Amino acid sequence: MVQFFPNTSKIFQVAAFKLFYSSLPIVAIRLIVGLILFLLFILAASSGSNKILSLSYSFLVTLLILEVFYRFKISREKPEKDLSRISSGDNIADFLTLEAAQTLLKVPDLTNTNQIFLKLIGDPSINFVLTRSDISTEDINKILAGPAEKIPIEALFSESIAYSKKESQEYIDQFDILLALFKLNKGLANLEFQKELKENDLLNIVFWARRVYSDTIPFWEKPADQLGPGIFDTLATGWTLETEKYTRDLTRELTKGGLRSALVGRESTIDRIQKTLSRSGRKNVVLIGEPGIGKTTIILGLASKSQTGNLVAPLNYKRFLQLDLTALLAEAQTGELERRLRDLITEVKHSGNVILFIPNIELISGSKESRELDITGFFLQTLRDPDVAIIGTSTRDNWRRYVETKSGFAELFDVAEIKPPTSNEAIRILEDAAASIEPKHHVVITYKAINQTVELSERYVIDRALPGKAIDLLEEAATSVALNKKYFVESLDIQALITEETKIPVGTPTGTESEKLLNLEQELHKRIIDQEEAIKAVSESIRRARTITRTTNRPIGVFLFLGPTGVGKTETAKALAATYFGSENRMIRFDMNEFQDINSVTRLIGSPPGSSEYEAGGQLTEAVRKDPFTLVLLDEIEKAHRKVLELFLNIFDEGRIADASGRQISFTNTLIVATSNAGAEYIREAVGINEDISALKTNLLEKLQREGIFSPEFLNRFDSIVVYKPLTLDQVQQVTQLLLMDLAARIKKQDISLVVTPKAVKWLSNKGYNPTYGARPLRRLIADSVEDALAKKLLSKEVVRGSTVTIDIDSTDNLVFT
Amino acid sequence: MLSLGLLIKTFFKPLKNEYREGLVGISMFMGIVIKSLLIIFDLVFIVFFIGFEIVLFIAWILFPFSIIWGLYGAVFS
Repeated sequence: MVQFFPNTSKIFQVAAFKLFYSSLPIVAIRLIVGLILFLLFILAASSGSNKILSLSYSFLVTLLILEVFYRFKISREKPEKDLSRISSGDNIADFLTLEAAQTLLKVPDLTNTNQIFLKLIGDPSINFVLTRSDISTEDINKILAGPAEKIPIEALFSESIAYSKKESQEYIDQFDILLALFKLNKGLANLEFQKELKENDLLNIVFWARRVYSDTIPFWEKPADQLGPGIFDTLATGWTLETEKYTRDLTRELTKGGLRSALVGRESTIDRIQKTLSRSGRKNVVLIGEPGIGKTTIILGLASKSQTGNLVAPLNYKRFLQLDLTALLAEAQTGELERRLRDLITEVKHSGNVILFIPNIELISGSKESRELDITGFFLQTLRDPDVAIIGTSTRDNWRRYVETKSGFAELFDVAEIKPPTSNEAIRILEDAAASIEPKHHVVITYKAINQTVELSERYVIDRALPGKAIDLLEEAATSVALNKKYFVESLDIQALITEETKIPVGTPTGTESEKLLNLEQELHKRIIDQEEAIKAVSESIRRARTITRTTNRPIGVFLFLGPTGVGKTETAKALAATYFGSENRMIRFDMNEFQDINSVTRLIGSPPGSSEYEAGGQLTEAVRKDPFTLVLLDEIEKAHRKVLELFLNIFDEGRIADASGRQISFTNTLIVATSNAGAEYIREAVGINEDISALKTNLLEKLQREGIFSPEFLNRFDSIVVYKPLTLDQVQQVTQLLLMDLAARIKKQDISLVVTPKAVKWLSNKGYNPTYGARPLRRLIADSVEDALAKKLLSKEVVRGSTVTIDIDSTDNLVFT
Repeated sequence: MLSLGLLIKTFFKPLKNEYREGLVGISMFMGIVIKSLLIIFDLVFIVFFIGFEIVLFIAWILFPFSIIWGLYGAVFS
C-alpha cells in the first residue's frame, strides 16, 4: 500500500524552501539586498570606511554563499530513493522529483485532480505534451471548468509509479503524474478519447517531451574523458592530405552542424560495432539492411558519440571519413585510380585515428550501378590489417549478389544485420527527427502527424524501410505546410500528401465518399441489372477496406466472376472502377488469352536484367506501380498459362510481388477481378432446369476442378466466387433501358430530347438478345439502328437543337423516329 | 587535455606517423624534439594548474571564514 507523508520527506522540505526562495517578493528582496550591499561595498572601498567595507563584505559573501548553495545544491536536490528499491512501507513522497514536489506543494487540495492538473500545466514541458497532443487552451478550460473530481492521492501515485516503471524512470516526475491524471480524471480520459489518443500515444508524447527537456550537462561537470581530444593529439596522428580529396569528413560536418545525428535506440547494434572496431584483430564491419532503415544514421550516431567521448576508449575522438566514390573515380586515367587507392589506403593505415566508412560497399565490388567497378582486390590486404577500421553498408540483396560472391573479401567483414524498427520505435525516432525538421521549415509537428506518417508510410510506401521512408514523408509534409503558410503539421497534411502521391484515399471517409460507400449497391445497379450476389460481395469488401484497418497486405478484394458472356461481368468491373475508383480509366485490363505461353510471365513482371526488354518493365507491375489504387481486371483468366496463374497466387495471398528488377510492387490497394466463361454452358443448363444457385455454384466449382481448369489452391485464394446467371428477357429489357438512357443523356448535351416507347424498348430487347452472347449484341444493335438513324437526321437537319425525338414501332414492326 | 599520455606513448614514433622511406628517421628526431618540448610545457602547465587549483580550493574552503574576518573588522576597526 502506497503511503504519502510529504511533511517527513526531505525532497518536499527542499521543494518548500525552493518555492519560498524563488517566490517573487523574495527574489525582489534578494536582488535589492545584493545591489545595496554591492554599492555599499564599492562606496566604502572608495571612501576608505573600513567598518562599512568589512560589514558589507561579510554580508555580501554570506549572500553569495547562500546563492551558490541554492543554485548548485538545493535546486539540484535528487529524491532520496529510486523506484527500483521501492517497498510497501515506503513514503512515496521520497520518490518524487524536486519539480514534481514543487508542483504538488502548490496544490491546495491534493485529492482534487482538477487542481493538480491546473498546477501541472504551468510547466513548459507539460505544455509541450498538451500542444503536441493537439489539446488546445479551450479544451483545458473546459476540463478545469467542469466539476471537481476527487480521488485519493495514493491512487494517483499508484498509477504514477506504474507509468514511471513502464518507461524505466528512476523517480516519479510531473509527466508520470500527468499520465496518471489522464487515466483517473474522467474529463481528461474523455478528452483523450475525443482526441483519438491511446495510452501508448501519450507515453510516446511524454517520451518526446523528456528528450526535448532533458538536462544538458555543462562542460565543467563532465568527466575528463568526455571533454574532447587532447590539444596535441594531432601530433600523434598521420597526414590524410590525399585521403581528404576522396572522402567526406563526417566528424567535421557533425561538429560544424552541417550534419546531425538522429540516433535513437540501436544500443545492441552500437555495442556490436564497438566490439568489432575495438578488438585487437581485424576491425571491419558491414551493416546490412534495407534502404531507409537507418544504416547511415547509425554511422553518424557512432561518429557523434565518438566525438563526445561516449564510446569505448579506443574509439573515442576518431575521425569518420566517408569514401566518395565519385571523387575517387573522377578523371582517373589508367593507373591513376590505383595510385589514388594506394595513397588513400596507406594514409588511412598510418593515420591512427581514421575510421573509413564505405557506403553501399557493393559499388566497389562489381555491382551494375558502378558499371561493374571492382576494386575489392586493393582492400584485401588492408582489411586484414589491425591498424585499419572500415565500416561498410549494403542491402541484403546487394551483399548476397555482389559481395558474398567474392568470398575472400566478404569474409573479412563482421556482418551486423540491421532490423527495421517497430512502429513504436519509428515514432520515437521521428520525434527526434522532428527536432531538426521544425526549425528548418518554421513549423510545429503534432504527435498525430508523426503517428500518421509512420502508419501510412508503412502501408503505402513499400519500396523503402522504416524509419527512412517516414522521415522523408514527414519532411515533405513540413515543406508543403510551410509553403501553404501554415504553422502546424497535422495528420490531415500527411493524409493529403499520401493521397496526392499515390492517388489512394486515406483517412476516415467523410461527406460524399461516406454516402457513396453506403449506397454502393444502388450506384452499381445503375449500370448492372440483377447479379445481386456479385454487387453485394464487391460492395462489402470496398466498405470494409475503407473503414476497418486491415492487418494483412492482401488486395482490397479478389473476386472471380463466372458466367456466360454478355451477362455483365466486365461491366461490373467497369462500374466499380467508375463508381469507387473515380473513373473507368482507373482499371488495368488484361485479356488473359494473350498470356497463354510460359514466357507470358516476363511480360507481366518484366524481363530479367540483360535482356532487351528489361528497360520496359512488366505490363502488370509497371501499371500497378504507377497507379497503386486501381482495379485490375483479368478477363478470361482460365485461358492464361498455369505459370501465370501461379504468379497470381502470390499476389492474391501476399498482396505484393517482386518485379524482374527485384522491386516490390504492392497490390494492397488494388481490387482484383478475374472473369471466366468456363462452365458457361453448364450454368445455362442448370439455370434452365431451375437448379438452386448455391448447388449450381458447388457443382460448377467441382466441375472446373475436375476438368483441371482451375486448381483448388487457386480457387481458394479468391475472397468470393460469384456465378453470373444468364439474363432473362425481362432483364435484357432493363439493360436496353439503361443503354437507351445512356444514349439519351449523351444527346441531351446537344439539347435534343430522346423518348423511347415501351414497345420500342421491347423490340430492341427481342432483336438484341442472344442466348449465347447475352446482352452483348444489344449495344451493337442500338448503335446500328438508333444511333445511326439519329446521326442521319442530325446531318439532314431533321433533328435540330431543342427537338424531341420519339422512337416507336410502326405497323410494319420497324422502328420509327418522330 | 594536454595529450601528455599520448606524447609519452608515441615519444619514439615518427612525427605525424611518417612512413615514407628517407623521412622516417628525420621525423622521429623531429618528433622527439617537439614532443620533449611539449612534455616539458605540459608538466609546467600541470604543476602551475595544480598549484592554482590548490590555492583556489583553499580559498573556497576559507571563503566562509572571511565573513568572520569581515565582521571582526567591522567591530574592531
